Amino acid sequence: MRRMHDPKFEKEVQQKLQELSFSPSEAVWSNIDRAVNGEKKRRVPVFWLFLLPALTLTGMGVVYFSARTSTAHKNIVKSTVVAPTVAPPAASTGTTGTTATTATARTTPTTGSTQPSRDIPAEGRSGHSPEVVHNGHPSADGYSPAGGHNTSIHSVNRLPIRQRDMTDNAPEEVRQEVKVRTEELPQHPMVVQTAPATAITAERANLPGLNVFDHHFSVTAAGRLSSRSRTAAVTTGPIQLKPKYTWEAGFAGGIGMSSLNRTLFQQPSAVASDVRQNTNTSTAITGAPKAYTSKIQPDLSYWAGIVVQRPLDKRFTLSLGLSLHYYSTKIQVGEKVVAPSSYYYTQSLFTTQAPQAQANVYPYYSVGDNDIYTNRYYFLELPGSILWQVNHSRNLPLFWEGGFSLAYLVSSNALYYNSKSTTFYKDGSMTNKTQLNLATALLVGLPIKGMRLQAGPQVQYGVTSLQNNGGTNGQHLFYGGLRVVLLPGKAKK
Amino acid sequence: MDYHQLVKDCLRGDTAAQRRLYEHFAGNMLGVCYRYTKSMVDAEDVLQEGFIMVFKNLHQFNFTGELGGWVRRIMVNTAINYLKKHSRYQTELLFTEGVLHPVSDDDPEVSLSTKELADLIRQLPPGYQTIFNLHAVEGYSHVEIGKILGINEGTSRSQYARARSLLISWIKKLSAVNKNETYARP
Repeated sequence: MRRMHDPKFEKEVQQKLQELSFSPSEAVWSNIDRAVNGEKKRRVPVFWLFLLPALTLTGMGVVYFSARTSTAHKNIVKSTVVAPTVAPPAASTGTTGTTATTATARTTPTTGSTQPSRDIPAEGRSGHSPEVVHNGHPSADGYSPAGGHNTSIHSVNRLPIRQRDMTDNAPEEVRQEVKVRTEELPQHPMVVQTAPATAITAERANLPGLNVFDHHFSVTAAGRLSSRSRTAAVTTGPIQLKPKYTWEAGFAGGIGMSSLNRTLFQQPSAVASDVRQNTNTSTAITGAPKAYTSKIQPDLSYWAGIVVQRPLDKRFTLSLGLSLHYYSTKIQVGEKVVAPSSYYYTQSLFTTQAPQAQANVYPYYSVGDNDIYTNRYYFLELPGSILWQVNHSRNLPLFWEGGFSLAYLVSSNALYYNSKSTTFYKDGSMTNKTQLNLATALLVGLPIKGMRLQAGPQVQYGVTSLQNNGGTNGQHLFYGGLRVVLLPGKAKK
Repeated sequence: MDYHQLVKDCLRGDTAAQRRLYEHFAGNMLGVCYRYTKSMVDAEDVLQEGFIMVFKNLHQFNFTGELGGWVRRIMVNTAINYLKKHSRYQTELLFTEGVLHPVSDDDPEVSLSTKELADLIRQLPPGYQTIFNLHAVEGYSHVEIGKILGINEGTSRSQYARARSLLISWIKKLSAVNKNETYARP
């Protein structure tokens, strides 16, 4: 800045006014602090807003997988053969049990049902004859050796062991009945019992045919039904073998290239980021010819996150997730302008033109090709999609995925071009922070040791314009690359 | 004060450092804002907006110049933007291009206090006030002022000359009044 003239008056005024100082009110600093640091503080809840569901989903996934593993393990260990219990005839139940706990501990002829016992305690039930019960149901023929009242198997369990040992002395008809019913047992696989108890009971009851019980079927059925409700286990009729679809959690990621497109297939123009495109851009303010402006070049993009999938039926699977997506583009810029430029003020102060945002006052880079600048965008995305299994292959399934994602711009260093001042500058307020993207992918399912991998090409297009200046020049983020989804556990058959 | 360290701390998000930087410059910068506006409330508004810009653009400061000068330029720019934004200033800023007014060679002695002088400058019409501040105090040339305000260099010169002569006449009158009051005192 050079002075046009330097008379004494100006010097004196300058000198005096340099000393001019006031104490600003405390409110000024609080407002500045809120404006400067408030933004950072506000980001924290937004971050946590996304982090908490992510952690919850991950936790649920871990609990789900570990629970499933342990359930299957328990089923293998505990589930064994049926031990039909034969209650003594009413005539021989003259003694009432007083050691119910001991009896229960030693004999475990229980049904698969965990239904609470609705039975009357054994005590004081003299004269009532317990009935042979399979699968928690009274015998079809209503057999009651004593011809008395029916009692469920739970009542039998509560009887003293000595009382049940009397089965050994049961009449031949009873033994025959037991034999017949034992042979029917494979049709009622829900009746389970622990192995040691079975051995004792079988031995004591002299029950034939126990060795032929289908262990494998019992385990499989019990495993399948383990997560069902209590009532499901006591339902009559055939076992429902329809697969139960559950949520599965896994990890997803991808790498590729991103660009800023005007439309889906149209590459960005030279001034795609021009915030003043609607105004006359033929000349700069200074009247100089318009300077060279760089094309926006595609650059690296990658993303990572978690994904949860749930089959809807044999062919369709719902997929939801949470991911952090990095996009970038490259532009050529001129020299970095450090000090606030006065270019802006060449616009008329005294015209009725609406004043521009203050950020315009501080241009960041001039146009030129001195340097390459990378515009970076970090988005938190909530993708939702449907996977359609194209083929029927179980070993090499092919999926076509289509869906959308809701994204929120967490951070960006992008420069915007202003053709009026011929500068690139940063302005966070220029962007639509919330974006809606459409995505599609073709994935191949690959079984890996104990896991499933889905991998294939993916394209994603931002339906929402990145720039919110309302101009006709849309800027839409486009991503093309590889998508990989990793799901722990083997595929359910 | 170690500005280098202070700026680094501010960039790290250290609120205490930001507060120190603010307190170091706030007094003088409020003086700058006071000269461009018509009320202390407006001056504080400009100061607030200016410091927000300072902190948001602090990463652009590369220590080639003085931090104080950089902060001051931001304050001046913010003040001018503020004048453009608010209609109460904008309507008064409209004035036609006048005939080139020669700058008088009258260089009276400024016997007023700093506050009195600043108040007199603030009594000038907003257009005069802005141009006078930019040229006489900030040291911008009329070419630069023309670019900043979007007016001709000649208009800037003319408006400055008028502002100057008006201010000098007021200074003379006020000095005379002050003198009389001094003599009148017992």
